[in-house]
Amino acid sequence: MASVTLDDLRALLAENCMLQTPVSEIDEDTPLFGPGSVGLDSIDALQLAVGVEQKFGVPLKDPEVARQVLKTLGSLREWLIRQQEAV
Amino acid sequence: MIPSPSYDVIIAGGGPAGSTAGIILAKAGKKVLILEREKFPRFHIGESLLPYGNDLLKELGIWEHLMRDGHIVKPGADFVPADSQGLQRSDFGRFLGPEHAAAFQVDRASFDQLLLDRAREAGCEVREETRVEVTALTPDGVTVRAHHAGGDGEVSARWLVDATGRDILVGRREGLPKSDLNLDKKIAVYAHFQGVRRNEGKWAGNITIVRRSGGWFWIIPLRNGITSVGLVQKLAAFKASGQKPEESFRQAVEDSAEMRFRMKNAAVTGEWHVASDYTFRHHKMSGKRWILAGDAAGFIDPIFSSGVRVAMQSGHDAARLVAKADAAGRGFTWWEQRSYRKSFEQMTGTFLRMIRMFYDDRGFEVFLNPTRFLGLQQAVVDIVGGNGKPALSVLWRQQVFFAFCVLQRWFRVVPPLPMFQTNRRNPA
Repeated sequence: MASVTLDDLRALLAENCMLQTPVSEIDEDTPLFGPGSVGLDSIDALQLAVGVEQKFGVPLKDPEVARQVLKTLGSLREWLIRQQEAV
Repeated sequence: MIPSPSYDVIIAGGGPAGSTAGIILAKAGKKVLILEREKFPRFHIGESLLPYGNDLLKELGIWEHLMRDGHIVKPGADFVPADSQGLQRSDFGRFLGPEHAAAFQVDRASFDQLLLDRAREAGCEVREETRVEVTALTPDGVTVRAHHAGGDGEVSARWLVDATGRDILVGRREGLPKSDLNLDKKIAVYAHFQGVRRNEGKWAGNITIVRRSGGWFWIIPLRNGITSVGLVQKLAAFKASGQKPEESFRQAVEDSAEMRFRMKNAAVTGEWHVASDYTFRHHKMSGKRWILAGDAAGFIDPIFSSGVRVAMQSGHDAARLVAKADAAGRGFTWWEQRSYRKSFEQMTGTFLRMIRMFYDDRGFEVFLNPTRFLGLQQAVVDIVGGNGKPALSVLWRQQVFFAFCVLQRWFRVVPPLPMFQTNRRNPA
């Protein structure tokens, strides 16, 4: 059974985004966008979406879906587990 | 002939509210009789406890038992849209401090039995399979008729705590005024399952709430691989569908990506249950010598698992009030009655605002968008954790959060959920 760990996603974040926060401080429920968050912007979002497809083979093309799924590493993780299972 | 009072307090109902009141009163040296309709252990709905209830579980001396018995530890609550696209994970440990870092998921058959046994240990006399009928409520005490297969009998006491739950013993007899608090009537269809997919790792004990159009599912992991799953929908919509309860459950599972994922290998292990759940709250909750506690006083929509929390807290508050007035040798004062009702209304009111937010599509979109901005996430987790009386510093943050939920109706404060796109009232 495929599985996605928090560390997989931290690595994904570090590879694709310009982070001002140490990646180890980003938890599953840390908001990634918006005020009081890690402070990612739309370019980071785009790169993350591409990174998700490359690393996990799951396309994340619909911007409406991406907006919901990329809110935290937790929401991304749960979504990825479900997408991998569906294949 | 009115027999002389043989007990200090009669408690009608041996569920969490009644047992809690019984334990506290017996510890205070009162002679307590608990009359319970059923034979415990028995199935009951309401299996997810809240961390702010921990203090009372410890005070009553059952915390260690819950640990020992291997009940599932609940470190948080997940809220997911039916299409799986999005997640609000309330992490109790992060925001609520070490005392409220987790709660338990309990099968109520054993949880309620544990509490009732604790009441016996504390000195309460408990009679199960006994129905109660109130024969007299006077300014000096109460008389009830206890119906049991072995024979009927009349008992008197100076006090009556009505913890009869949905039976609403005193409420019905006295015709107490009540309100439905402007929430739609709902119907719940539920059962216990084996093989339901749980979260991975540290979040395996979370409750998951799956929000769908007009209703929701609960997924509560219990001991021994059992998972409680239930569907809540509007009663009117259910009736209009013409489906049987089990049929509507299966249909709703099929319609949801999240539920298909969770239920792929699930099999029912017990009976199906149906409960028509409706919100109500009495305007009057006590008299000179009687007081309502738990569901008998009021019941609100179960989406935030508030039932046991409210029941035990009100049982506790009612018992304290009885002990105090009894020591003074008088009935409840007007002021005591008022403050008890206010306290019940405050606690349920906190949940009610969240419940209204949850059923509002725009409010739910804001809820699914966790933000650390102004400490709003903490304020929200505080309610999800069951804090009925938040501090001022948390209260104003909650107000700001609810203000955002209202704003979302006209402005896109947060991105709209794809699930609600087709029925947007104001397509942008």
